[in-house]
Amino acid sequence: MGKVYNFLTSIKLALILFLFIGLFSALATLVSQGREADYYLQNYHQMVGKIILAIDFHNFFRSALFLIPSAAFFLNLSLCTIKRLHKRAKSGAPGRYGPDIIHIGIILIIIGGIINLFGRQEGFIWLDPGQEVVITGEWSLRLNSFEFQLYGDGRPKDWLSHVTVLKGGEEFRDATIEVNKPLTIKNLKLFQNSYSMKDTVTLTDKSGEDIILKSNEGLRLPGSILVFSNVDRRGGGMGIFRELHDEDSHTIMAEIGDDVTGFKVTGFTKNESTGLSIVKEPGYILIIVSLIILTFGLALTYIQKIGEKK
Amino acid sequence: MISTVAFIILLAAILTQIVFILRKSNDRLSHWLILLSSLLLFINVIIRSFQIKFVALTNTFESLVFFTGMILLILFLYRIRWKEKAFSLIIFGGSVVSAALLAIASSPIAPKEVAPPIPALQSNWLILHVSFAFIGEAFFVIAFVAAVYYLLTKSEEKKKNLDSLVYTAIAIGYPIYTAGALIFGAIWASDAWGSFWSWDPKETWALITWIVYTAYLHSRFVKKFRGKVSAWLSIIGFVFTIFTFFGVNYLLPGLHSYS
Repeated sequence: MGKVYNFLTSIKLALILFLFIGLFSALATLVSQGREADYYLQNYHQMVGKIILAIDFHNFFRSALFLIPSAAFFLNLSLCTIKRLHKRAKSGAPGRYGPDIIHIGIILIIIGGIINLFGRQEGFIWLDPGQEVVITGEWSLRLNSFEFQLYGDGRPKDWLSHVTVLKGGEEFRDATIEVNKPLTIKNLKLFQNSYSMKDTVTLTDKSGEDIILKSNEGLRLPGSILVFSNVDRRGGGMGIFRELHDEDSHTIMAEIGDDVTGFKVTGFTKNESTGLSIVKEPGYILIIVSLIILTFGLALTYIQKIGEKK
Repeated sequence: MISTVAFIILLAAILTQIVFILRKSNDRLSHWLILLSSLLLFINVIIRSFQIKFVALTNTFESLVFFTGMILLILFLYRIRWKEKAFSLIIFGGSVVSAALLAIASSPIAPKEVAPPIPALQSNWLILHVSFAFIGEAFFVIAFVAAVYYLLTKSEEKKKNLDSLVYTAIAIGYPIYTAGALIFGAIWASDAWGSFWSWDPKETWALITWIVYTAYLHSRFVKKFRGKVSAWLSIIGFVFTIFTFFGVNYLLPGLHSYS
């Protein structure tokens, strides 16, 4: 029993596990991860493809091949840390406890990672300007405007969603979500993820009422459907429509002021909508605290070592 | 271009080192050339930073210039501290590695266009992530050269000194690399992508590199691993460092496609 315990808490076991995890992780980066089974059977020698699928090498970081040695490492590190702390408490000598703090930091990171592995949730929403959506409970979000900034040379500079956070229907605060600057509402984080720009056309009917059609939206007419395609912006701007009948269809081009199937084209605009991802990470705070502990442990180890040298 | 001048000065430093090594006399000149080359590279970083209105660590070229400047600065500081003649070979090895990195920086695989960063890179965490990772890795260069020298020399006394040099370089570089590559990187990833860790190839290789150096530090507690095994781990760690930097970018696709 003592022998087994000694091996479980040994540096030798840690080194063996380092070698195993390192080697297989390296090999896993050479295999495209998370694809359909057919991909591996078609792109690799059939035998290799079968082995990849049999040992879950295409989902390596969720496979037994990775998780079992990682669990063993977790056990090894935890037992080793307890053993060291116990020894220190017994001997009463403070000694170098920097490495212990590093070990505790790593143990906590792994726990946080496991919590996230099972509890992480991610969602995605599209929002048009003016549109409102419930985020969680009494909290909702309204997109006021979306902004796509460009550098002078035409490369993207930033994507910004200007939003208002609402609590119980009342305006709570204004905020901007941009790349690298997520918005936090309760325990959720909202990230700028995508955007879409669609041409829109305003058609005015004979009674003077406006109808707005976004790109690829249609309007039912007696005997046909009018679909708005997009705006050709060369020149003054030309709206491109298709009128679909039962048997055939034809393209209609119209400028502002033109008549299209009884409607007058009165305006072209661009509708910019934003794509936000919403993330819930239950292990977030634990991981941040662990990272701080780890950093502190690294700094302390270093300072203590320099102290010893002097 | 300033980086070209720095490169030429570095080549002059290497030539000077060769002459002194062949004459077996004490080199009192080349480390000043190394310092000059390093300063020019940092001036290059500063000028580019003003041009792009962001700290110039946003592409392979800029990273290489900073990384090489850091290696040369550390070589200079080591040379000032250790004045022994044996150390000239370490400085020589470090200079050759630096020259190779600058040669890659000047090659077409590292585009040199001066351009402000794309949205994904506009974060203060980028500055901490990249700079700390490279400062740590600059110490790994010293450890690598000393480990190679360790394996080549037959003198037991030299071996002892070199083993201690490899250890101190890794002991200094390791916490800085851990903080930069892994801790700050994870916090930035959480801010940018909503996930601390995504197992993309660059992350995985940075972790593998870290595991090798962690193994190195722990191998010193196992008596029979000291010496040769440790030296090999230092060499493997450096090879992985370089692969994480270049190999992953050009061979394995992933989220870190810009760096």
